[in-house]
Amino acid sequence: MNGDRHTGKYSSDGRLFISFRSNSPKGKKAKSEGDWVAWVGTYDDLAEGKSGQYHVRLKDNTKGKDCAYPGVEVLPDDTIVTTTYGHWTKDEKPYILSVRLKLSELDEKAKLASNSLNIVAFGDSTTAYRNTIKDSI
Amino acid sequence: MWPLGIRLLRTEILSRIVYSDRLPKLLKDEGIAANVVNAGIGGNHTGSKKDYKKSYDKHGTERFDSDVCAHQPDIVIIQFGWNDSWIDSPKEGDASRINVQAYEKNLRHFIETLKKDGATPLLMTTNQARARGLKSWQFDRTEEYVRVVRTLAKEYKVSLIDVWSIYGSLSEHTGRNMDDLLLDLVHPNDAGHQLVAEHLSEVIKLMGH
Repeated sequence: MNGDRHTGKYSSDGRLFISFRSNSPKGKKAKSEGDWVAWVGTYDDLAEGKSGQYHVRLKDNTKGKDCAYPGVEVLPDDTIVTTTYGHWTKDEKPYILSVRLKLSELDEKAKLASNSLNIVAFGDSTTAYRNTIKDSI
Repeated sequence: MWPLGIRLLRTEILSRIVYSDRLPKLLKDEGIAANVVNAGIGGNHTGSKKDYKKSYDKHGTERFDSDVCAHQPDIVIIQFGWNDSWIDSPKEGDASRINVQAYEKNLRHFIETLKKDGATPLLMTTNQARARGLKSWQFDRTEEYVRVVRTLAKEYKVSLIDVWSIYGSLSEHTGRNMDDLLLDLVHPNDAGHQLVAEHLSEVIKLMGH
């Protein structure tokens, strides 16, 4: 929950969805630093200082921490709509983005992620090279 | 200015898919869900900017924490070699960009840090390049670095995919030659990346994570 500009709403099952900007205390740096993120958990999680159910990056912000004063609405069918500005495309001006999701969809993704192997391929161009090759005649 | 009637022709090879893109699908077919981050950068070696004057990018030791450890990986595939061993001078016997002792030291740092953090390193030797177009002494120098990777894999008891050997034994085992697997002098093409991804899938399956 490290961050600022938190805005939360309850879903129909009683869980809280909180949308905010990821911003770590001095000396620490989250993987989602400066990005638009959300936290899902219960009121008791917050009151008891627990980490909650999961933390999700809604969108990578490509320019520093310049993003996210989010609004959150819950539609009658339990769809969550959260909206804010940010630098969502590298080297372009900021624009406003709206994300629609259901917690059931996030639950499914979180379940997959928790069972997934996390692999990093670390190397040079023989690992990474997928540039366009242009030959001129 | 081009004479009339002569056009500039351009061929483009697009949408190349590297092994890190191919691996999740292959692992999924084996019942293993995986997220694979491509932390490869063209022109990179294991050292740092100060090791090579012409370099502007961050290199292996400088970006190891941010590009690798920060992902809290279960497995890290490490494959460096050509840029480390490359001799910029046209003279036989001149220095590589990163000398072989420093290369070994850098790889040891990666392996030991990952093990300490609970991640599993998986070493890969670099692929062979086309012999034609390369000086034999450049080829020999790179092979020296390949031998370091093999030695470290044994010493640290970590899995090794010996891509150098796989490329070298192609015609013997498969009827294919290196031209089938290379895009240019050095870089693997789609078939090369598929071959590596298949080996990785097999090895990762056996790791039993």
